[in-house]
Amino acid sequence: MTRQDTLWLRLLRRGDVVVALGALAVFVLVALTAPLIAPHDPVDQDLMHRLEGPSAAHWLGTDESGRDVLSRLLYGTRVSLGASLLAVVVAAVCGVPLGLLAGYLGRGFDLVVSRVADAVLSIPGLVLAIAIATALGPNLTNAMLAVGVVYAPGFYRVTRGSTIAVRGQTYVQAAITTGCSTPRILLRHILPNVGTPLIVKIFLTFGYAILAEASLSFLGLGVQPPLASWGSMLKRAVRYLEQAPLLVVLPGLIILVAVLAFNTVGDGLRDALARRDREPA
Amino acid sequence: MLAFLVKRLAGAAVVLFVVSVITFGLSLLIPGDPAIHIAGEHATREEIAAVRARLGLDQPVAVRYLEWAAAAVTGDLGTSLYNSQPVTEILAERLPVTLSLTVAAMVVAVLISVPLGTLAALRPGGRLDRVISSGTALAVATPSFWLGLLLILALAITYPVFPATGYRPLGDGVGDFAAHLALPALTLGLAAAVEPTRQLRAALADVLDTDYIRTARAKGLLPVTILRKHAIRNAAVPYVTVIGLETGQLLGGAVVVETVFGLPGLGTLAEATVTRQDLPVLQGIVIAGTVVVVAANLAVDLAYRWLTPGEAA
Repeated sequence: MTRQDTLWLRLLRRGDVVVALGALAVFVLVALTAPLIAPHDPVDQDLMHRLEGPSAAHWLGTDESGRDVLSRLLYGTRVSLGASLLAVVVAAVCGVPLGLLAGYLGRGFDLVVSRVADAVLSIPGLVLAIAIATALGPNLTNAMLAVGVVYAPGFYRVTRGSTIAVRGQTYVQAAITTGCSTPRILLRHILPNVGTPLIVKIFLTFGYAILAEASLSFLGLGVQPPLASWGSMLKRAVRYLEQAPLLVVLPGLIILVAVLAFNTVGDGLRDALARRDREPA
Repeated sequence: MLAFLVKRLAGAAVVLFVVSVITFGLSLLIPGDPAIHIAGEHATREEIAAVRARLGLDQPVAVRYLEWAAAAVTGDLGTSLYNSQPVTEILAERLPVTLSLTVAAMVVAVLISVPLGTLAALRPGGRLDRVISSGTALAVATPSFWLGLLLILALAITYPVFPATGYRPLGDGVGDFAAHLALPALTLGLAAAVEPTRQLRAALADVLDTDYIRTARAKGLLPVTILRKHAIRNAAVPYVTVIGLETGQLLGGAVVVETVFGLPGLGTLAEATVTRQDLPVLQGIVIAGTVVVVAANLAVDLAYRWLTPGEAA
């Protein structure tokens, strides 16, 4: 059995991680099949049945335009997860190559990129995301590009640190001696060995990205109507806080469960990794 | 100490320089030509050129940055595109509200994290530790604006203990000021308490596991005395660092929390500028926020130095 296999086995022995992985599987399934499983059209208005509580026709009630809340939440899964995925991909695509290069090359390159990363990290994240998204034009894609930029230094630091840790090891030195090109060393020899900390980072960043998407949509920077994400549903529901508190409670609960699931898997993976590294291989 | 201070100030200056470049760069992200935008769609080529010269857009980017940065250093961050008010003036009106909220939230975070972190560290792996650790996991996953709305629903609408929204300056009386700040500070402080709680628990559990604490126990010292005289002091260093590093998180979170509670701070200002596309004001908010974060980090460095006089930084 390889070290990788024991890592996954150890992870699956933790009850909370298994439940979280199950929840994530459900979220992904819902995002992929929303049009098939949604009982109603999420933008279909029915002004005769506004702000109604749960019923046989509308399991979770209707919103201020008489739209089916359950269907909007199901479609919102697709919007929220898709947007968060975009932010994570942007963060990784910006941060990982720079981290590999800075960790491997060191010197001036490392110094300059690390200072820029420090600077980006000292700007309050959400403020920077708002500023970038406003400059680019307020829509969901731009908002999540901005969130990706905000999270890129995190990926940069993890990759850089892990690269520095493996740079001096014998197999990397051997690859250098046999005349491997730098890109080949980075991609074939170093990247696979910094991969697991990156997977932890991806899960944890995904959780934060869901919260960021919800926050930006709540501020009106994200998804534009009639489409809905969990955050934008909350934004609209604020006005009916007293009349229909369920409209506020439900999207928030779903955000909480989704973020908790991503964080639990990320934390569990990190713990399993830390324990494996303490034991002899 | 002086050499240390100079080194840290130089570091802060580098960060502020890079942030100023990023902030200036925001104006280059705007799609389309701002001169055409301002001159109007039907403007002639000459009119557009005139606007471009008036705004200095015909200058190279580096020259424009230097002019912008030189003005910024003297406190001139330009004027709002929306109402022509100087940006510095707008920031000065709003900053006290945001800082009040941030400080209040930090107090909440300390009041939550010190007892919880200590209790969790007393028996690592025990039931209380597990409950507290689940609690922090929940708190970190909770959208702050949602928590704020639930608090309004519970403590302002259902049981009207606190006002739902609005702000009263400290000058109007401490009671009113505190009552209006209570729910926003609780909302923001709960999330900010997570990292400090975890940090304190880990540091304290490590300290309590050392030989000198075992000796103190064997001597028959009361647990409270051991905590107060020996353990807390050693666990304080990483704790103070984490509390300081929360500043950026708090300022970012303040944007959303201010919007929920209608506090007239930098956050509601940022929200308003989004729809108005008022970039100079947003640039000002970015700079102001970063200055606060950098100042907080400097304070943390100094506190660290003060708590660990023997170690070279």
